[in-house]
Amino acid sequence: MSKVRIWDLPTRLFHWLLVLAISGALVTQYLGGTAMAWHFRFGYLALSLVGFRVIWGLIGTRHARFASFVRGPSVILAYLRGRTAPDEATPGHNPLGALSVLAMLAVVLLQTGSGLFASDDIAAQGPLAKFVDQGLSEQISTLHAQVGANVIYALVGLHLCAIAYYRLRRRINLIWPMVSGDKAPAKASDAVNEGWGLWARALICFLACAATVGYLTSL
Amino acid sequence: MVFRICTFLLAILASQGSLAQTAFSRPADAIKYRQAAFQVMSFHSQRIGSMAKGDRPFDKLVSNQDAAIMEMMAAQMEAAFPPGSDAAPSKAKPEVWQDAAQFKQKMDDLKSSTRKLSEATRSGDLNNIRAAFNQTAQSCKSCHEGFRNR
Repeated sequence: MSKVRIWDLPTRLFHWLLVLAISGALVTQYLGGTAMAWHFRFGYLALSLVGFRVIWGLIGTRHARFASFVRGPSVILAYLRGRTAPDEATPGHNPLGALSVLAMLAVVLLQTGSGLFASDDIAAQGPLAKFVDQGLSEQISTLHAQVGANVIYALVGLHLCAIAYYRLRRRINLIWPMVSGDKAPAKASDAVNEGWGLWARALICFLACAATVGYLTSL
Repeated sequence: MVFRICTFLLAILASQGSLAQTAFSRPADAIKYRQAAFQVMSFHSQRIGSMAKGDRPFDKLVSNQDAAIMEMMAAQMEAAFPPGSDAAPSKAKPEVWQDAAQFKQKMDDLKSSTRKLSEATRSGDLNNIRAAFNQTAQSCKSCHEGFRNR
């Protein structure tokens, strides 16, 4: 079977820009000092990206939509039991992978949201910290730095293990489809169409999210 | 007789040990003092930090003041951790006293980096200030990681 377009370009760009944002946030936090200015920028990028992905999950192409891959517990169990079935059955995210998508989106949203109110007690203070009292900001900072960060490490670790499992044990490369958008083998009827119209819509969505984040941080 | 009494009194005075024992009458006072000192330090660290990051226009005089105050606070900090001052609202980890040698090293590091920051602000060179600020931020962070409870 020939290659079939499964992942649209906006979804793929979202994924890899999020990788950049999270990695950048991690490194800049470790460096500290003046690098915290970049930590904030990577955080704003991550927040804008998650905002975009949520909207795209409602209006994007078929496999990007939450409705197409978010399934209930009975479907997840059935998928797990019959997990040696051919992969054409789930062209996009499988029911189990869907859980990790939701978890990662939720955690990144919480992490970037809490970051807006956090402080590192040295010289970096989130743009909205001034609207809450110091005690509350300290509590939020603890959630951000101690809890949220570790949850993100765990989810990213799990994600990487899953990718490795697919590559090593099931000989399925999941990285390339997220770069090229194409999957093989796949049913032709699962293909999505994309073009300039779609990309323009996606860009407008993302810019709207970025503008909202820009507004929030300027308050 | 008088000589013996004088020697005895002198021995008592000499055994008083660190300044901290006479500086703070209550452990709670030491906690209040150091938390206030850190608060002052934080304000000036943020101000000079925003200059270093380019979020605020550089003002040499203001940066001098910020660094001088940070250096002064850093100098007082070590003495504000007398033994027995670990009760709430203190956020100091037990390691401050259990691992006293390491804690002292962090304090020395803070004193040295704030001193270098002061020197950099006297030079007026923003690149120097940036580098010295980053080093100071590392000193703060490194001590927090091992010795401060969130």
